[in-house]
Amino acid sequence: MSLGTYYQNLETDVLAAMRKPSTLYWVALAFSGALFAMGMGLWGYQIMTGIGASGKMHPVGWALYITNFVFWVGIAHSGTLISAVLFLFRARFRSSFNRSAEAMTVIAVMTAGLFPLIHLGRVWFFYWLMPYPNQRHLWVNFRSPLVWDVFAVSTYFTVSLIFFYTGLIPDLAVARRHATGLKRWVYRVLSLGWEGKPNQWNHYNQLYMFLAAFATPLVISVHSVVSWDFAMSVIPGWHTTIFAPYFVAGAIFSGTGMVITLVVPMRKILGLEKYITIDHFESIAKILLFTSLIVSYAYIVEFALAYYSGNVFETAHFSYRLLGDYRYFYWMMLLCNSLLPLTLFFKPLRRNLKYLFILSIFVNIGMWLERFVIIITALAHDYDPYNWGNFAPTLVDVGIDIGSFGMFFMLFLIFTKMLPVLSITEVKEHAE
Amino acid sequence: MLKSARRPLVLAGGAATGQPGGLAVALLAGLLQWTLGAVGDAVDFASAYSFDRLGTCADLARLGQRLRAKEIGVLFISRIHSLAGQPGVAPAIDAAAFPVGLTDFLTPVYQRCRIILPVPHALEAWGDAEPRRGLLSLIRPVFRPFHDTRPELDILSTLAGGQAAAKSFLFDRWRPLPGGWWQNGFHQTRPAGVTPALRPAETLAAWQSASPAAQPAPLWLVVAPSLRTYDGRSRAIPLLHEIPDPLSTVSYGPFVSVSPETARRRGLSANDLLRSGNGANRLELPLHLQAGLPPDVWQIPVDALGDLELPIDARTGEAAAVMAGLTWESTGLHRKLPVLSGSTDATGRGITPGHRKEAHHHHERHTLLPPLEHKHYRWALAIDLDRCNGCSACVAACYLENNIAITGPAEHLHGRELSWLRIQPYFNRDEPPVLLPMLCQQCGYAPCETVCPVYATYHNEEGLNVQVYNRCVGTRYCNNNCPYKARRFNWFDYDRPAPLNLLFNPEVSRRPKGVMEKCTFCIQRIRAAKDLAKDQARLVRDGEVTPACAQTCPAGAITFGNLLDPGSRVSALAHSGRAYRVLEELGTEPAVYYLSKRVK
Repeated sequence: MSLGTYYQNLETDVLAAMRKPSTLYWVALAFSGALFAMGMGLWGYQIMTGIGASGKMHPVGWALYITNFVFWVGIAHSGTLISAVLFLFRARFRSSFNRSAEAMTVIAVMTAGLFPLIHLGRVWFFYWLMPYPNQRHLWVNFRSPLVWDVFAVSTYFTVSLIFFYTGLIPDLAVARRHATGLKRWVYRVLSLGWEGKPNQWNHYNQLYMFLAAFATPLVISVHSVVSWDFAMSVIPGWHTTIFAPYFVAGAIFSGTGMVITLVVPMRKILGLEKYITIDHFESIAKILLFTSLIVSYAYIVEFALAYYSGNVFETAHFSYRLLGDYRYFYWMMLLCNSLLPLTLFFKPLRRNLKYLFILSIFVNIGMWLERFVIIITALAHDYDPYNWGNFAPTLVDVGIDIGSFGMFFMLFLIFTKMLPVLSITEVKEHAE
Repeated sequence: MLKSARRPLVLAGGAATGQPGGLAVALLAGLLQWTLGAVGDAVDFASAYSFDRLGTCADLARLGQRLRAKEIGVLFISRIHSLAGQPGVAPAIDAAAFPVGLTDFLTPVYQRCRIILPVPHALEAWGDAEPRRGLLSLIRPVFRPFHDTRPELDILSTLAGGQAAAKSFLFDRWRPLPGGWWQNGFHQTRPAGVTPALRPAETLAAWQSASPAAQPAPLWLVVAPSLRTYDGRSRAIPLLHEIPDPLSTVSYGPFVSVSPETARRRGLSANDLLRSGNGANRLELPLHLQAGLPPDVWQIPVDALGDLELPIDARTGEAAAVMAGLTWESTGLHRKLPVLSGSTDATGRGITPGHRKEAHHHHERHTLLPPLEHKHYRWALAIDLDRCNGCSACVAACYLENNIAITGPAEHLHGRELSWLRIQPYFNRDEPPVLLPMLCQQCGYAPCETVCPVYATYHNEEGLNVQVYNRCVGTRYCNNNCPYKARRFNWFDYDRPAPLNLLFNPEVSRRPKGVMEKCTFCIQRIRAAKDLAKDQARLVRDGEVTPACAQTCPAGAITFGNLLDPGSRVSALAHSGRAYRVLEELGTEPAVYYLSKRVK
């Protein structure tokens, strides 16, 4: 097949995904939309009645909402890793994933950004968390990790969005070429008059490289900052310097898992098997295995430190994590994050898409549980035994969390229909 | 220990004398005291509490018999809110021809009255009292009655054919007393001193008749007065249930306690619903595992007695405080008790003083941060654990002073009570039990201050950790970071239906939902004292500011003052050899000093 025909087929195949949706799509969209609406409704109820509608209590002031916040930010990082970091390393295999990964990043950051609002006691004053000029000369407290979060996550969202959009421009031009009517007008506006001239390509490559370089350190810094919500505190289980690298590795790990969860069915449903191959998945699986090993190392270090520290508070807390009220969650987490990914040392399993898909679900569960365990056991069991107490979620907690998943999948489904799910430009570039 | 004490005192009462061998115990205690000598200045026999006009439980039982025998026509029941231990008396009230109730609370006893006359609160009416022999106290109303009530004195004096007004009735009887009673509010006569003398023959005779006959049965039920409602008489007051019992930390609901070791042996666990009873009277109570109880001793508070009858000692007329031979079985059901403490074992954590020797070096610093500097004041508290008996009056005072919301049993089961000050009991291994009042420590380097994103909490120049309610957005990071978990969050809007809204202290703002709150050493009182001092161009003197907890503590365990004032009481106490601070090795530099128990 000549290159020209290949390009034609590529464009047609990818843009075919944006055709009129099937019934299955509508059902999926309606379902995830309904979950999202339920989540929003429950949030409204919580605003009216108070945070007491959730299961939080004294001493566990943070529970499922912050778990979800960290979880979604973590998922977002993997997208940036695949699109930006792997780009800088010239990893060819990323080209089939990177568009979906970037979209996943942007959507995950949006979802994550809701949770600091949801967990606020007085959300109607959320803007006090931002330094805006005011007549009373009030600043935010720059020493607080929560303010660092505000800056980090908003920076990350802005950069990811711009990076995503920049990469989309040539593909939007392709879509514009094949579209008709209102859609054509929309794509024309969004593609900013792209014509594929050599100097435009020049600028595009330079900008894309710059943004990739700009986004790369954000992968490290943003999740380090999010982990410092915990590491900067004094309580045992949170107060440890390993959190920054541990969380960053964990973020890439959970994000890679989510990429597999999203791309395996998407590839099947949209018929993109020619462009997203098993080799690509095997490379992603290797990243999954590598980050799983780093996370397991972090678990070992945490326990070793607690054990030989001789500090009664540390040893008691870690015993509680392993053997206390939440032990089943902890053991499940170990199984999902440390043990199951070890099976990826076997090449046949790395190349088996069904296995990868199921494993990725477990990885997502395991990483969600990791955040849950860290946050809740540390708060439930700290210095003073009088204050120990257990958290149990309510329907509001669970409903809002499920609603966030609904939001994520709803937005991702919308993405698959509105924008090209493959980076046509990059696949063309690497088709030799 | 008694021999080496300077002024030994042997007290016998409660469960020690409320059992079949109780009279013998009382006699022995008296004899022991007599042999130790030096009673004179330790005990004042002349000004004893005035129980002369009170009846005993035996009298109450006799009343029940007379009622059942239809000997009573008109019966006045005034402010009797509990007949615990005498289940036969309340039903007998129906047998009176015309039972009249005079009360401010409508409790079950009053359901049986033919007519109920509402009387005002004690603070709303004239009256008098004789708390001790020779001490007559005049009671003056503080405000007009809120509701349509008539004082008891009014009602009774009218019925006696006398004047209608309670005030004139009272004054007619007080006027003859020697002058000064109106200004002082009391009249005191010094009764002739009583010198105790031992009468050997009578003592021996009493001893012989008092010796207990039978061997005690192995299973003991101790019926203890409830610290909060005594025998249930003030059960109608919600605050008394909101504040937990200090030893068990159970807030709402009656319960039965036993030691964890006994429960384990009997195959019982916490919150099991147990049934006990002998014969007709059955009692169903959830189980609470109480550290510090000896094995095979079951304990219930008097207000949990329900229909259980307490045997009355014919010689003293009092109800027994200990019953033997009661069995407890599990019903198979559970009833969750709101227990506010997570665990009462803090062994090895440095929270309790342990066997701390005196002259503990508590001023070494545990932080690399520079020492704090304060200009005129560094407010501090010294809490004497030797004097604190866990009565929780400070907790109640704090609730009332600071408009703290009462959250109720459902929220307590969730662990969401709002107490700013709480009594934390610790039963550590190899240490004496400790009752530790815990509150915001006003840390010099407070972990909560650095993490609040909006500066709702910051350190003021007087050493206080200040909470700005209207700036708080409710991220709850401050309480997460507090090692003492001293802060409380308003999970909901808590309302107080009328007339309880009259209890609000207008000097303290009410917090809406979503806002963190905590103790700030009654900053409203500090501010008032500072304003007064400023008017007089001076600094606040020691003793001018008293937070609600210090003001209310009956044992004087809490001392407040300015640590920078070398002459202040709190300065002296904070520098004493007994002083220590909780978790100070975390580098928080708290302003609350605890004084460990005096250990020889």
